[in-house]
Amino acid sequence: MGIDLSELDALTGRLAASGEVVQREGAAVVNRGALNVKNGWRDRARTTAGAHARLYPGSISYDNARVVAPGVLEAVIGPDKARPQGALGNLLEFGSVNNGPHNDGGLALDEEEPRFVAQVEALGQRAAEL
Amino acid sequence: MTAVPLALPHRNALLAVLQPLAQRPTGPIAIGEGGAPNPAPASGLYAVLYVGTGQTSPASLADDRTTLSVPFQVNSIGPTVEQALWVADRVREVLAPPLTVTGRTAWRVEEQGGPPVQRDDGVTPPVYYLPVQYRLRSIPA
Repeated sequence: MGIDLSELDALTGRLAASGEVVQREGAAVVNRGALNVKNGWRDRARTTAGAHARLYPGSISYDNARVVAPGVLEAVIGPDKARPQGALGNLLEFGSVNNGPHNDGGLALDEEEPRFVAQVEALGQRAAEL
Repeated sequence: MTAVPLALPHRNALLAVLQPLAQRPTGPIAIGEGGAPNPAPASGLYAVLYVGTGQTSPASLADDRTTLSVPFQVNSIGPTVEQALWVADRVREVLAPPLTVTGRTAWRVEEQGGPPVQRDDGVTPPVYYLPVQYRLRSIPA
């Protein structure tokens, strides 16, 4: 009796190919999401930061997606302390004893979440169809 | 049409579990909303709740926007680092069990973290504060 492994071999090949697609296109999805969060955060901060922190919105930026663990892509979005008024980020985002939080970054992240999830699902679908 | 989800019942549910902290027989924690409690407690131990209106989202392709996600933040304040963390731990304890939101079925509160304990030198005397962000999601009951 023999065992035909050809279809298993084909599946193995497809899974390997799909992993490469996910890693390649996943970075684009994460980068696009990071850009959207950055822009949303800046837009909100322009309204909430006030005259005393006019330069703060311009300090918000992001790092390109990078692999931080096998199968895990990460982009970091937030105020850059090297930019003017970037050091105000913690205070404006989370508040202090007598100042309420603005939560501009948190709200931008919440707004982006459904779009990001939709793109990740679409990517998974494309990878599964290979 | 299904009723529009409202933020106020979620805020009430949060206060319902936070306000009893002020009645603790040992180490009562005063609770403020939108700002420090007035008057501030002599112990210097208090927590401040900040609640947003949240975002509605569709529960299905019918675009029935009955799911609500409410972001909120609790700042824990104390005269020392240890006391600020102690307040934050008491807050975490009361937010851990499922909340009762009128007319809704709520997920357990999601912790989203925040910056480390910091000293606020903008008040006299300086105190330590620890902001923690959360999210409370619910659907119709």
